[in-house]
Amino acid sequence: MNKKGLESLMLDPYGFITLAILLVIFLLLMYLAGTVNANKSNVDNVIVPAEILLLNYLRTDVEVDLNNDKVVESVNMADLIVMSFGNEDYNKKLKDTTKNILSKAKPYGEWGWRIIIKNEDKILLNLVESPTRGDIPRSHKELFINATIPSDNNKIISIIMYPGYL
Amino acid sequence: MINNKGFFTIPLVVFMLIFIGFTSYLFIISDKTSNYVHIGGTASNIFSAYQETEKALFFIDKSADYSVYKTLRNINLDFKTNCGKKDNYIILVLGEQTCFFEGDLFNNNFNSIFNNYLLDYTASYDKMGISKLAYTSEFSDYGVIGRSKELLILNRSNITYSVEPSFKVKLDFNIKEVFLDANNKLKEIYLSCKSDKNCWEDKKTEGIIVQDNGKLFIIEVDTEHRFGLYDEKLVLRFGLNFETNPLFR
Repeated sequence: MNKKGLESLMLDPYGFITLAILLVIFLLLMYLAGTVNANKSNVDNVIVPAEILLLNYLRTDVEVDLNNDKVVESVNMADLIVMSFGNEDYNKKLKDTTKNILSKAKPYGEWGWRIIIKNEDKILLNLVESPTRGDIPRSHKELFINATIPSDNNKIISIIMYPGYL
Repeated sequence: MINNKGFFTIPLVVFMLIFIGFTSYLFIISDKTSNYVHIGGTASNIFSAYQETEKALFFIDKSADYSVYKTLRNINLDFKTNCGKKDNYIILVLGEQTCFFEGDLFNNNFNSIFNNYLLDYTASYDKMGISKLAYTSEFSDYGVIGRSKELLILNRSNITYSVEPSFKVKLDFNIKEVFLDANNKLKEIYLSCKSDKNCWEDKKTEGIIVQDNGKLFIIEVDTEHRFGLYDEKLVLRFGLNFETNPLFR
């Protein structure tokens, strides 16, 4: 019976230890190579279907009585946002309509959409459904969707939407 | 004789360590990417370019809305003729010279002023070069339609996405027709009345107010049309300046 293979390992413990270290180093290097290269993706962007949701939200028509003459006119949500910055009377309409639209478009299971509408001066709407049980990590920036619109007095308005646990 | 040294010798192990270390180092620093991230990469980039462009087009849409409203709000202040400019009314007559509007003069005034206002809005959008675009306007019974003379181009990795921006600003009336109708009505009265104040009072129609300010007539035309987010009235103000007219009576 040939026992040389086993015997040679037992007889050469230094070689065996070196082999084990070599394998560990090799596995470590392969692991590092995988993680480093995973970040070198040629995909610049992650597809976020919610970007379309945000634009559709801004384009949604809503009926508003523009000058309290009991005649309702059709404007879109972007217009309602602009009007709300100039006239607080529209804030309730903005909040209710926003809730109504976003409640029908839940992103994932129990998660709902949170929305922040602000310009350079103030936050107009910070609609966070409560109670919250946690937020998505801020590092997941692909889940934060934002769009900008101009206001009639030429101030940029930012609309930021992100999913949160309801 | 039995060889107890085994397969691994120290020089061989050192050589293998150096070799594996070196090849791993080359692999890490190379730009080679994992195969799985390539799948769908192009589609992702196309979709992303589409989304970014859609956002920019929406910004243009809203900017165009507010620019048209601003043009209408300031129409009496900004519209110019060869008869000069005075305060917030459009001078149609200077002495014996008449400067009534024709279609081209209206188009030139509107496009120039509208594009200036639009530039104010689009300049604040820094993600794509939307402020470099200029638009020609067409007027219909449903509002103003604008078309860019140039393409909006977005380059993303290996994707080039181009689109010809256009917009439609909803109004309940044809602004060009309304303006030229008012202008033509005043021209008609002017041709029969010239600087005769009483004649103007007799011939003016509903919605026209003639203010006699010495040798300057200020004529206000209420078009009965409304526009914009605040349902503003469109009132046109014209001036007939007879100061240098020797026939003024």
